[in-house]
Amino acid sequence: MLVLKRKVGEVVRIGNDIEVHVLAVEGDVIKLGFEAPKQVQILRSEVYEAIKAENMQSTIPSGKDAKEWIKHLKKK
Amino acid sequence: MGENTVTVIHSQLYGELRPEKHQIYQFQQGIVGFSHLNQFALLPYEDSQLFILQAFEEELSLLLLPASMCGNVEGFHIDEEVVTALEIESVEEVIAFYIIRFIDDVPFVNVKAPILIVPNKQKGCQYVLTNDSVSVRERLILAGDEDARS
Repeated sequence: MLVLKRKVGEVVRIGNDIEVHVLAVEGDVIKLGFEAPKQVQILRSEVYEAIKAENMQSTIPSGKDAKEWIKHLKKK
Repeated sequence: MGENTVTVIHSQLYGELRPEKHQIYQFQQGIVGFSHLNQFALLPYEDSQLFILQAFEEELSLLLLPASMCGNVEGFHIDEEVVTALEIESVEEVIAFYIIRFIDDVPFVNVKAPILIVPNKQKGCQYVLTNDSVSVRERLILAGDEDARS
C-alpha cells in the first residue's frame, strides 16, 4: 500500500484521469471528492461488498428450490 | 462476430443456450463484483414474467424481475453519468429489473442495485442507488400488493 500525507485542498492523482481531492477534515471524518471517467464506478467499499455478496448469493443454483414460488409470477 | 456465427452458451443449469442477437447485452463495467464478465444474454425464464441474465464467459446466472412488478419502491432517479455511459438520450430507453433471490422459498429483491437494460443499444449495467434507505435485500412486495404487507 502506498501511503501519502495530504492537506485539505490538495489532490492525489491515480493514473491519467482519476483525481482524489481532500476537501475537509472534521474530527475523524475526511471528506473526499472524486473526479473520474464516467465508466469508473465509485462506491463506499461496504456498499460494494454488500452488493457483491448479494450478487453472488443470488446466482441461480442457490435459488433452484424456488420453482414453486415462481409459479405465482407466471403469466395469467 | 460474423453474420453467420451462432452464439452458444453452455450452461450447467439449462444446457445449451442459443441467444438471438437482440438478446445479447454488453455490460461495460460488468456487474458489481464481476467486472470481468462483460457479455450477458437476457432470456425469458420458462413461461414466467421473469428473465435470466446469463454470463457468457462463466457459469453465472441471475433471475431478474421487471421493476414494474415490484411494489417495494415507487421508482428511482438515474443520474447523468449513467445516461452518458449507456449512450441514451432519455430514460425511456431504459428497462429496469431487480435481481430476485429466494431464501427458504421467500422472494427477496435487491432494490439498492437494479439492473438497467437498453434494448436499442444492447447495453446494460448494474446501477447502484445512492439512496441509503433502500437495501440490497428486501422482501419482495408485488406491485398491487402494497396493502397486503402487514
